[in-house]
Amino acid sequence: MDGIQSAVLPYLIAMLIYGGTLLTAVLLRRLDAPRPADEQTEENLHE
Amino acid sequence: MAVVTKNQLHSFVTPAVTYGAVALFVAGSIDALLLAPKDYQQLDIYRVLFIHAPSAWGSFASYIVMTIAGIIHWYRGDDRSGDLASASAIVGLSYTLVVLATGTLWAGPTWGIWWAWDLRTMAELVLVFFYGSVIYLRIFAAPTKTTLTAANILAVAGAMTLPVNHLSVYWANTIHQVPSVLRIDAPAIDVTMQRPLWLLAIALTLYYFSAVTQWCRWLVHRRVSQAS
Repeated sequence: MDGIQSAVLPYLIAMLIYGGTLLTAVLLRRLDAPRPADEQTEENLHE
Repeated sequence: MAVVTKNQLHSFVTPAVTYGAVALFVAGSIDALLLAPKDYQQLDIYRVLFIHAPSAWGSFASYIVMTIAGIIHWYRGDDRSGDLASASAIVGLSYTLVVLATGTLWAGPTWGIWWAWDLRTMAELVLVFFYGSVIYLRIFAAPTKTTLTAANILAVAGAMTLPVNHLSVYWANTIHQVPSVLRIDAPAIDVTMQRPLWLLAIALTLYYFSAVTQWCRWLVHRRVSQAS
């Protein structure tokens, strides 16, 4: 198989795996963080 | 005199490392795919090796960090080395998956088979299971002394496969080529072909620091959330 396109797919897969690993950590931390709405509800409850 | 706090330094260094990794990855990929000369024998498909080889180095290096940090954590009980071990396991798994994916995409057109059940490919596949088991024991299982000990025993057992993995191309009758860069004598590839390799190696090293930092932050965050 010739042509640069034959070598492009592995780079796209690598980008997907590495980018996915990095973004998953960022997203998990954001998802775990208390949202402003939650904090407000909590404050209301205390009141 | 302006005093730079640890947080200010952190908020500058972490994005700088991440953007550096992305920039070098893009530059290295352009160099690998467009600028590096075509191989006289393998033609263009050999360009896969510019991402395959640094990923393989990363899978080894992460494993070594994971094992040492895990032992320090087991011995001293400090959370920081435990988080480093867990984060290195996740990032190391990403390297190993890339090695296997890119390896098979290169092997298909070059060897004529997508997967060879030889010592080198098997040793790399085994790393996936070691990484997976350590991730499960360190992150998802109940954090007891027993699970941590099991994670460390597994990590050390897996570390013993690393020299076998590296030297398998000399020891076994394998279809995989011998190392072109990590060898006792000078690299066996031309300088123009070394450039994208080193660019991607540096990019993936920066990626390691960036991804490990992000995963450590999540681990710390999760521990604090569970404690409260």
